[in-house]
Amino acid sequence: MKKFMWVIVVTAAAVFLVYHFNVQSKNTRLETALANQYSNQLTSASEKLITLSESIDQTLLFQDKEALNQPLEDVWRLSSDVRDSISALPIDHETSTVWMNYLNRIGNGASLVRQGKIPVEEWQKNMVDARKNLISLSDQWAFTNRNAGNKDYIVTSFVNNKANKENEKNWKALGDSAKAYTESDFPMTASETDKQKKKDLQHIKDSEITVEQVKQKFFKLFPELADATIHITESSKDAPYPFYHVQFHKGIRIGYADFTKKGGHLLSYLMERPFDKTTISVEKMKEKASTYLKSFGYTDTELVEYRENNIAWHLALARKDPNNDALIYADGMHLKIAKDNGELLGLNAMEYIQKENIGEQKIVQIDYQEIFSGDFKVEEERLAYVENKELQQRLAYEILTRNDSIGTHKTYIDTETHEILHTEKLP
Amino acid sequence: MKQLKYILFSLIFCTAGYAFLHEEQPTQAFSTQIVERGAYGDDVIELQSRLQYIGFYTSQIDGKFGYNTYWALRNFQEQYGIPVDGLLGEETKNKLISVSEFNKEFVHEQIKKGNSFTTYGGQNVAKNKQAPSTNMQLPPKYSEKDLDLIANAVYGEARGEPYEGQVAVAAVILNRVEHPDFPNTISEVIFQPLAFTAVADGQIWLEPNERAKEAVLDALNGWDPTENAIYYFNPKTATSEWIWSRPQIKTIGQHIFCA
Repeated sequence: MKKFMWVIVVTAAAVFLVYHFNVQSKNTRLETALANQYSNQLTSASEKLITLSESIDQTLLFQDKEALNQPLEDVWRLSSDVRDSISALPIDHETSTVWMNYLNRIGNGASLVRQGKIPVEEWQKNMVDARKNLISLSDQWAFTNRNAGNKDYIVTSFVNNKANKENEKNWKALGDSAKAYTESDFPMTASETDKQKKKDLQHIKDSEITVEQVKQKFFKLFPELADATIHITESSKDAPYPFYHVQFHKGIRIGYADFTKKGGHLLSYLMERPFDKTTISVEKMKEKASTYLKSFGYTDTELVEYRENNIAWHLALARKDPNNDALIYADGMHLKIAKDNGELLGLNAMEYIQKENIGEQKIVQIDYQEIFSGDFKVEEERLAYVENKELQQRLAYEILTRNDSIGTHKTYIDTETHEILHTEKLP
Repeated sequence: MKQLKYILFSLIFCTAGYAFLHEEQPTQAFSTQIVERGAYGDDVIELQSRLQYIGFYTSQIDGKFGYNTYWALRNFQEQYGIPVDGLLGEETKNKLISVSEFNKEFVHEQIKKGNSFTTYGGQNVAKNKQAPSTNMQLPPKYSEKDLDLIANAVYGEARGEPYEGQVAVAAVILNRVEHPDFPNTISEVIFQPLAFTAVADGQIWLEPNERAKEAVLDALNGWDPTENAIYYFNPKTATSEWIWSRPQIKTIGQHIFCA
């Protein structure tokens, strides 16, 4: 009898433990699902706030009515988008209402300026503070991986908060809530990041090269890897354009290079190795970059900018039109150069391979004072080709403007129609 | 008496030695390199701090030589009669050192702590924490938040993969943002239901290592080892039959990348 009791107790304990473990893991899964959901919503709202503040910046940049039209419309549309996003956030109702009203005022203001019912100057005066508020709010909601336990923060601040207030840790209800959030349609129209798609390399007309030829080409381009172990594979038969994938390994160096099958053009190259803490000078780095470009035959490019990072410099280059020295950004190229010894760590020529067809275009003189507001100083100008809405390459004035509180902007204005093709804020 | 002399001499010698060894270190000065826009590191931190000390630079001291630093440096050069080139060369360094001070310990401590701080007029004022900043410089169209989020996804999805495979996963995320069949923002692509295993099983919350961040940095700078893929899967673990119907492009590590 005693034994029987023991069996019952042990069985009950085992069942309880299994049940407890199941419930625990289910709770963890729900917690993760909600943290993902909330993080997505908060991060999206944060991103949209930044996009909105950038559009506001553009309304501060111009005084020309036509130039102002598009950014004002963007502000009106984006403020509406962000309002919808905020209404879906798992935050205190009062807080969200305050912010929604604030965004409503911004949107209405932009609309009234467009209709000429509010002077541009008044709008620009108010928006200097508004943009700061939006950036500050965006920072609060932004995703970060530098605060240890970001998931815990989201769970504590939003998931449990919502559960405690409304459902007393009712996990079933939380599950329903997660489902509701998952099914909710989060507006996606705020993204302004759609840029030119990577070029289609299907139409290269060069003749195909063999595996042996690509091997020779690889060793010719990278003589320092002459004794590396390499493994060459062909792209799958369904690949949009055929290419060779060369994987190499030499001591501490490991990486890959892709070549088009037609013509054997280098698409990209990337190598990984351990790095020393020493740094060569910028002049030396530029010399090295120039040497690499010459040895690869890319002599028609110009260095547009470079960024120093922990182990390497990332360089952006663009092809230069020999007729007018205008930069053709669509024919861009990237280099990655090691800081410790200037070794070439990467090259990306995917966009450079197929050159853009550039047509003739008139250059009509322009008065920048009519375009930009008086608070912005035009610092530099040059010519460049950029895409318009119809995806045509247009010759444009590339104007660098400066304002100490709003920042530095690059604006592209069509040389013939004087249409504002693109504006970007520079860091 | 002789002993007393020896003791006195020893004392003087020790005191002089101590004073010599503990001589105040000179103010931290720049390295010998010419520093220009695009640079990053201790020289830029010192440049920003010194320019802020004398009121030319008002932005965040973050060690990144962007346009705010560039214009501040040019203004300084103009005011002090130095050729205005926006480069931190020897003449500019010497002038800057002679007219400003740099409290290296204070500045680096505030940066390490992530504090908001200023050094204007020698008044070292540390305030509350500011928005965190990475030590990486990104192309203008991307933010540090983008880098963080993709790095988490890459680490969660492909931390056991070769470097090329990690760049490839980051490139797929970016390709999806540009593809009309997917959402238009990085966060929406990553958190799209059923899109990434690491999101579903919570591995996206693991803290990424420097290798994952470097891989993302390369992808943000344009590298795409997948040659425009928008899907990938592990053939050993994939349960979906549909994924096998996608046009395959190439295999990197354990993943097959598809169009």
